[in-house]
Amino acid sequence: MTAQIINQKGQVIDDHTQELDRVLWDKDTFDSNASQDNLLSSWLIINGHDDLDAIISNLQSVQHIAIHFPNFADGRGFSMARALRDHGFKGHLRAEGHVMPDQFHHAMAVGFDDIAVPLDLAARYGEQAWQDVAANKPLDYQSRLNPIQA
Amino acid sequence: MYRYDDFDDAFVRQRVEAFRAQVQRRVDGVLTEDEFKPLRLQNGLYLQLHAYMLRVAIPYGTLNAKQMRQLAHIAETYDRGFGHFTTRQNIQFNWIDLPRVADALADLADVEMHAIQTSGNCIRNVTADHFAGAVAGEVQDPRIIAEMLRQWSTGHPEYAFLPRKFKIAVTGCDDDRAVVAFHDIGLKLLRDETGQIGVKIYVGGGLGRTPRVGRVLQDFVPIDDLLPYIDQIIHVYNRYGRRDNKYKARIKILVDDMGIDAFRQEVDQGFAKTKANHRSLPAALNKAITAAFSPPDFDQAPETSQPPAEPIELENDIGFEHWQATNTHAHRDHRHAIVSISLKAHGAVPGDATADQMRALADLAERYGYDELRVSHEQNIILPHIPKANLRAVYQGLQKAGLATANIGLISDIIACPGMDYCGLATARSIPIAQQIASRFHDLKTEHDIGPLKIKISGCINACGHHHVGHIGILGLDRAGVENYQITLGGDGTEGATLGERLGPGFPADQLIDAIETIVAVYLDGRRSAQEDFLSFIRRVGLLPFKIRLYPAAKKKTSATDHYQQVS
Repeated sequence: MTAQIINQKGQVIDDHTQELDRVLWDKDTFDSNASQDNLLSSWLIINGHDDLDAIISNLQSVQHIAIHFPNFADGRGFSMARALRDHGFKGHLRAEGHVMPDQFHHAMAVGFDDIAVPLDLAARYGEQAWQDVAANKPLDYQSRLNPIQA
Repeated sequence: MYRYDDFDDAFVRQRVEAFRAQVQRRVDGVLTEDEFKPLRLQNGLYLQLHAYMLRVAIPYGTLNAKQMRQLAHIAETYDRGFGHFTTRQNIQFNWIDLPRVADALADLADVEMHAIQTSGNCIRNVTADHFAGAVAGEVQDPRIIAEMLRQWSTGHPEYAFLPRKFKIAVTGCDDDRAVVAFHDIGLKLLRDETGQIGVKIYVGGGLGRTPRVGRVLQDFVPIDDLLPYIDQIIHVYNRYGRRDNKYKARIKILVDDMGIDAFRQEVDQGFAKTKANHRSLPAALNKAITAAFSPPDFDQAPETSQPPAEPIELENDIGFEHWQATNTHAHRDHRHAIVSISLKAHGAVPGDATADQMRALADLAERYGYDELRVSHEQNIILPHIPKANLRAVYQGLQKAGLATANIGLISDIIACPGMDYCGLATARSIPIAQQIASRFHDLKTEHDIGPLKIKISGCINACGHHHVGHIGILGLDRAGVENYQITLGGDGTEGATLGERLGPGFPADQLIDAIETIVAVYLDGRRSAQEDFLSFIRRVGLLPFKIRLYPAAKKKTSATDHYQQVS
């Protein structure tokens, strides 16, 4: 195990998807047939500077996308997640890297399914910290202004 | 004005307690200073040169008397008895203890105020014309969409960690007092040919070390599309704005790099794709926000003066007439006037007010002005609706509080950043320069003759004092350990939207005030009449006549001399 996985309830979970292959996106990722077959059962790891439009054009080829947060102040991942969801990605979407409990609700609101934090960070923030924030969902103006219709 | 409903109240109180817990985690060492920093910034807390500074939001600059009195209470309880009104319609308290911040925020919540998103790399307090709702010729009160934007941007999950800060300003009429061309997004309300209300959108304006006039992104976006369209602008910025260099991280640089057409295309594509996900504002909320800014019942205006709170000795009438000529502005209702109160007494710190002065302002607003006050980006206070019959009583009340300085729009009505007296980034002092200029022209007794002239002073290239858009801009730099001041001329932050042009080599502090006096003398000697104001004069003659008087070496060039003789 290289990371601690936090689910939408703020619980630390055992997660079998950590055993999947990890494919770091590059511009050839969707070109090679060999990797195509494997891709559906792998994590596609994307970074803030990657060409999200290319990924959006190939959403049928991926099931698991992890967006890497190099540090918690780099908010690109929030907009990338939202763009993937806006363009119809229905698969497993994970925030991984330096994500803090204070960002838990931000991550959930933009469409992440879970958060993978490296073990050194997990040592500072135990499950309790995540559960505390998960249990205290703040009011949000965005749903007030643009209510989701059931 | 907009009053909090249960939702707003609960939201703000929740944020206070969340921040209290974050402070505790920092004190306990769970949060590193790096991690704590963006959290405290998003709650308005800076670490300055000497202490923490708390910046409290005054959305679109609108306050009532109760809120102003609470600011006085904060100043006395948590600070040193005064506050500093800023160029973004906020107020700063400069001497706050970290352990007491949450208590101060709770006191603010009691009067429907907060410090949320007044700093940090997020969408900041939305500003608007300080004459909103009071001046004639508005398409609509700009505070209606400013309040919608406040609600939409507050705590927005996608935009809490942008590449850099993000500032939005709104104006409702052609006379731009909100500096919309120098904001990340500037909005100007207008109507299309069918009478539908919408906005013209400017993007990528700004001052700082890379000043830019905002570029027109759209000539008309209907109000119903405003939030989803703004959302797309900031979405594109969050994805593509630079994060490798904080000095190149504002949206103006992204617009420079992409070009306005490619930027527009990217925004429009995303807007077309996501528009279907957006619904109009819930009708009840839309109605509540709009109704909150309906004007007071101006028919209440008394025809004769209300008696003052306590009798005051009348000083001579010339003082009142001067003040009325300089510090009042035409109101949309002929029975009223808009009163601008100068926080620039000659020799005082621009924008500072004591707790007692804040209470005096609150009393006047409550007694004579429909319980409404505004903060202007020029660091003054506005009483937007004063019945003309009460002007004298207001003037007398202001005199008593030391707030009757008759210099609005004149050379001593200076914008100055805190500079080296407070700020860790400053390279020079700003406040003492402002004080010296104001005192000099006060002593000369020429400022009313000089007429409209805006001086703006920044103590470093980050340009918090807006020097680029000063008619006279002053930028304080550090030259090998000595303060040196560069002068720009001809800047204009209003609808004329012009960046000032640099005059030449800078001046040390001890020569600067003389240089300003020389610049003013060139204008007074050369103007066609008193009707030609300073900015018009510069637009007619350019910088050369000023250069010749300030830098005598330039005189030797014959062409320059000829030019000077033509204009003098």
